[in-house]
Amino acid sequence: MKALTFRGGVHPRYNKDRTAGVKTALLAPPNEVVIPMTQHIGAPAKPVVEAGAQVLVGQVVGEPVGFVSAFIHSSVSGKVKAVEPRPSMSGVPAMSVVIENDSQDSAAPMKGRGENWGKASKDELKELVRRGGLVGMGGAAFPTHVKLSPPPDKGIDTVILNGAECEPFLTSDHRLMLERPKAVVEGCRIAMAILGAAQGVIGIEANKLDAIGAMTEAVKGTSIRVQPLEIKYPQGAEKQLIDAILGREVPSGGLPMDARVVVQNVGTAAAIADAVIDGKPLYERVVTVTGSAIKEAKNLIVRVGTPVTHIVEACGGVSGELGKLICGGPMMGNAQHTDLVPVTKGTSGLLFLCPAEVDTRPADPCIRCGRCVRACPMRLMPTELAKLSAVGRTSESEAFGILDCIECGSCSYECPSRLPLVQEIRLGKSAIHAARRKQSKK
Amino acid sequence: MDKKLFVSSSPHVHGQVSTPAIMWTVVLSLLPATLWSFYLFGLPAVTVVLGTVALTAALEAISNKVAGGPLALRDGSAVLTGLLLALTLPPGLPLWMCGAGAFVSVVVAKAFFGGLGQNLFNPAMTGRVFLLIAFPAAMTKWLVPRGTGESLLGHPVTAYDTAGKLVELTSAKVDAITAATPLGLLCEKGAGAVAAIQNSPDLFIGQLNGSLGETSAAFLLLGGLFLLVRRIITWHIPVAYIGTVAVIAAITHAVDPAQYASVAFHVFTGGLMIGAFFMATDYVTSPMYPMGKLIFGVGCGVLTMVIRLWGGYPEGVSFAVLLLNACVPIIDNATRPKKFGLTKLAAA
Amino acid sequence: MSSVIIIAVIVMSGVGVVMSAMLAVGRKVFAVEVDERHEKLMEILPGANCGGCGYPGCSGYAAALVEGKAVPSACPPGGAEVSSAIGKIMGVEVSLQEPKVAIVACAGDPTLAPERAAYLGVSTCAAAHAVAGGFKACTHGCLGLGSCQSVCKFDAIVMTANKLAVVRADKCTGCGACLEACPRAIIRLVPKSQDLHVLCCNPDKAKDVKAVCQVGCTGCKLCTKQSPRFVVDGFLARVDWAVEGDIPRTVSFVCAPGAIFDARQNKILPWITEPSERRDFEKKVELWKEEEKARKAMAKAGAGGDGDQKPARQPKAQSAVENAGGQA
Repeated sequence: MKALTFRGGVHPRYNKDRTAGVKTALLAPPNEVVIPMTQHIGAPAKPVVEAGAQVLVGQVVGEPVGFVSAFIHSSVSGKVKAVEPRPSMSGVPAMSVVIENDSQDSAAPMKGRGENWGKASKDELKELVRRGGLVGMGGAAFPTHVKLSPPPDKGIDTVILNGAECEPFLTSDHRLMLERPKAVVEGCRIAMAILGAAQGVIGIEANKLDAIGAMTEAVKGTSIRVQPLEIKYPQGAEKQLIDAILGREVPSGGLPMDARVVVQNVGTAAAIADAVIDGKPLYERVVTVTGSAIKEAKNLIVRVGTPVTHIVEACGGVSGELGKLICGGPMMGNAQHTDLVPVTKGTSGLLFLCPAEVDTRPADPCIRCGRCVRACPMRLMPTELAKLSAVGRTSESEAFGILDCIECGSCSYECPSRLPLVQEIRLGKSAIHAARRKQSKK
Repeated sequence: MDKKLFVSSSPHVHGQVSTPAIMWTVVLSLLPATLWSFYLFGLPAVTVVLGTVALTAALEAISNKVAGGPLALRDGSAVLTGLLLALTLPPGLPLWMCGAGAFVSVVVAKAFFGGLGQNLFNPAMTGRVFLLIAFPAAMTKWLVPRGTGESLLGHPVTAYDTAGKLVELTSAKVDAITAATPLGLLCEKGAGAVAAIQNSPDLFIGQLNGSLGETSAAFLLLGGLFLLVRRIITWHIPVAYIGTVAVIAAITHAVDPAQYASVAFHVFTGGLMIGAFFMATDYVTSPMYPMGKLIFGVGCGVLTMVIRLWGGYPEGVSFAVLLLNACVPIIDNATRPKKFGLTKLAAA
Repeated sequence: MSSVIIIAVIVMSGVGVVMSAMLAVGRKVFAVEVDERHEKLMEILPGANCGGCGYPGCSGYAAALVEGKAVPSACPPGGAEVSSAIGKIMGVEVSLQEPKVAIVACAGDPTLAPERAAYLGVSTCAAAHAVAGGFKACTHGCLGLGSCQSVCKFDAIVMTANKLAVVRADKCTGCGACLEACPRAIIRLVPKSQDLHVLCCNPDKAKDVKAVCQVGCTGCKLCTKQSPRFVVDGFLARVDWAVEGDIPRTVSFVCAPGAIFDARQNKILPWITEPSERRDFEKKVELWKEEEKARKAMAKAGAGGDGDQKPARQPKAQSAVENAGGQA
C-alpha cells in the first residue's frame, strides 16, 4: 500500500534505534509517588483524600472539576503523606497528593464490562472511560471522554488511531503496537461504538514495518484498516493525519470533529480497552527513556507520579553530564529545570541530552530563505508571524493565521538562522488570547 | 544535579543547514565560473575578483563595527556579495572603482538598510549599476579573452574587435585589444552584426568577451544546478526568468531575424545566467512564496528583454533585477499561500 | 530669447495657481471637523503616548475627554498640573489624586535568589516565564530581562548590574505600562509619598521562601510590631495604605531577610557587596537607629503635653535615587 502524507513537514533524524527493538519493561514502583492534580488540559482535579488516609492502587484521589477535567487515581497502595503543592513538569508547583508506597500493591476493586462490552450503552461506555481518568496519551493530555462526546450533529464517521509516532527518539507507541495490538484494536472498536463511526483507520509511519504487520494481523475481521504513512514529521499531528489518510482538511479554527473525524493516540486506545474491559484506570503508562545522556535507554511501564530521579536510577544513571531534560519528544516536548518532577499521564518520553547536544549558538538574522514556509504543515508564514509577534502587532498576525499554528516546531527546526520562531509565535498567540480574555471581561 | 540544566522552548533539535553554510555553498558554486574567468582573462581578472572580495569584506567588517553589532563576516554574505559583484565587472577595471562598487554594495545597499536580511535591493547588483552609471566608459571597456589558437571545441576562437569586426584570435593577440560585447553590438547594429556567432557553441562555453562572470554560461549553469540539487535555491525564479527571455527571443526572432537575435544568443550571452541563478534568487531580495517567485522571474525576463531589444543599454539584467527587487514586498503581499484548512474541506 | 523666459514664467505660475487651487478645494472638501478643545488639550498633554490613561496615546485621551468619556485626572505623567489645566479647558472640577509611582516588588537579584536553569531563547520576561516556569528558583521573582524597562517611556526603570529591575521614583510618572509588561505581576503602583515598601511577592511559607531567596519575606511579622500599616497576609507582608499610622524608618532593619525597601535609600543592605561600601552603609544604619531612638524618646516626652507634635521626618534626599543608576 502506498504511504500517504501531507504537504510540508521536515525530516529530523529519528534516533529511534536505541529503544525500538527493546521489549517494554516493568518499572518497580518507587517508595513515594507524587501525583499532581493537573495532568490534563482543563480544570485541575480536586484532591479527595487527606494526609494520613490509606489508599489502594487505582483508588480515586482526585475528582474532576467540571466537564473538561479528569479523575486522578492512586498508582500505588499506601498512606497519603501530604496534599500540597509540589514541583511539576509545568515548571510551577502543582497541588499534588504524595503517597508513601507500602509495597503491597493492593488494588482497589475494578469493575469493567469484560469482553462483551458491546452490550453496554454508549453512555455506559463513556462513563467507564471518564471514570478511568483517561486523557490523550500522545502528550497533549486532553480528557478522552470529552473527545468522545462531540455534538451529535457532527456526524462522526471515522475514528483514526495515531500510530505515526513521528516525534524523534520516542518508541513507546511503536512498542505498544507490537506488544498489545489486540488492546489497541479493542480500544478503537470501543471508540467507534461510542461515536457511532463506521470506519476505523490506524495510521502508522512506514518506518515501523513490524508494527504495521502486527496491527494488520490484529485488525482482521474488523472494520478497521491499517494505513502506512510517509516518514515525515509531523505526520502524527491530528490535522495532518486526517489530511493524509482521508484527504479532508479540518477547517481553520475547527476541530477534527468538524471533518467528521475523531483522532486518538494508539496508547489512549489501549487505555480505553483497559478501562472498559477490565475497569482499570489510567495509573501507569509506557514511557520511552532515551537520549545520549542516559546509560540504558528503554521503554518502561511507569506508575504515574514516579519521580524522574527514580527512573534515572532504574536506567543506570546519567552518563557523563546532563545538559537538558525534556519531557516528551525533542520537537514538541518541554524542557525541565530539574529531575525532581513526577511522571504524569501525558509523559510519552523522557529525553536526556548531553550539554554538547544543546544548541547554545545565538540566532542569526532572518535571510528570508523561505525554508520555514516550505516546512510549515499548516501552510503559514512562520517568519512573518514571528516578526509580527515580536513587535506586538497582534491584529496582523491574527489575520495571517497565527492561531492556526500547531507549534509543531518544523519551522524552527529548518531555520538556518536558528531563530526561535515557534517561541515568538507561541508568545504572539498567548498575547492574542490574553487580549481576548481581557476584552470579554470588560 | 549541581550543574544547571538548559531550558528553552521547543523544538530542542535543529536541522543541519545554517546561514553561513548556505552563503559558502553559493560561493563554492561560483568557483568554476570564477576560475574560468581567471583562465580567460588572466591577471586582470584575478586582480578584480580578489580585490573586490577583499574590499567588500573589509567594508562589511567596518560597517559592522560602526553599527555596534557583532562581527558578521562569519556568515559569508560579504564574501558572496564581493564575488558576485566582481563577476559582473569587466576584467581590468581599476581597483579603486571596484572599491567604490563594493562600498555601494555593502554600505549603501546593505548596511544602511539594517544589515543582512534587511536590504531591499540586491547589494551586488546595486554596486554594479552604480558603477555602470558612474563610470560608463570603464564599465564597457572589455578585454578580449585569451585565444589559444583553437577553442575547446576545435575551431578558431573569434572575438569582436572595437570596430565590431569578428577577428580570429591567435595567442599573440592575448590581452592586447579591447573589444565590444556581443550584446553591445546587437544593441548598436542589430542582429545582422552578430549573425555569425548567434548560434555558436562559444556562447555557451563562454569564450567571448564580456564581464568576468558573464562569459561562461556553461559554468554558471553548472553552479546553478549545484544550488538546485543542494536545495539552496528553488527552480521557480531561474526557470521563469530564463523561460521568459527565451519565449520573447523566439517570438521576436521569428518575426524579424534580421533585427532580433536568436534564442541561444539571448539566453547564453550577457548576464542572464548569473542573474537568473545567482542574483534574482538572492533570498533577501526575492519573494518568499512559489507563486511570487514565478511572477518575479517572469517580470525580470520581460524587463530584461525590453531593455535589451528596445532600450538604450545593451544589457538589462541588472536593471531588471533591481526594479523587481523593489516590487518584492508587494509581490509577497499578494502571493501569500492559502493556509491549511481553507481549501479541501468542500471536497471532503 | 525673452519670449522663452516669458513662456516659462507663465507656465510655471499657471501650474502653481492650478495646484494651489486644487489644494484649497481639497482642504475644504476633505476637511476634518476638529473640536478646538482637542487641539488645546493636545498642547498641554505630555505627548509621551504612554497609555497610562487607558486610551491609545495622548490624542486618544484628548478625544475621550472631548467626548466626555474620560476624567481629567487620568493622565499619570501630567500629574496635578496637567489635570487642573485639563479641568480649565473642559470647564470641570478636578478631583486631585495622589500621585503614584511604580515599584518592582522583588529584591532578589540572582546573587540573592539563584537561577535554577540556564535559559536559551527569546530574551523577554514573558518568553522566559513561559519556559519551564522561569529560570529563577523563585517563581515570583524578577527575571531581570528588562521587559519593563523596554516599555518605559520615561527611562524610569534601570536594570542593576545584577539583573534586577529598579524603578527610579524621581522619573516614574506612574503610567503603569510596566505593570502590563511584567509576566509575573510583581510591579505595583504605590503612593509617591511613601518611602517604605516590602520588596517581595512570594506568598510561600518561610521554609520554601528561604530555599529560593535570601531576601524573600518569610512572613515573620516583625514589621507589624513596628507599625500598624504593615499587614501580613498568609506569609507575605505588605503595607496597607488605607491604615493610618506612622512608619519608623528602622522598620527596614528589623526585617530579618531585608525585604523592606527604603525608597530614600533606594538600596537594601543585601544588594551591597563591596565591603567598604557595606561598612559605610552599616554605619549609616547605626546612625539612623540612633536618630530613631532619639525621635521616639522625644515623642514620648512630648506626648505628655504637646499632643499635636508631628514626628520628625527626614527631608527626602534628592540624590538617593541616583544610587540605583550608579549600580547599573
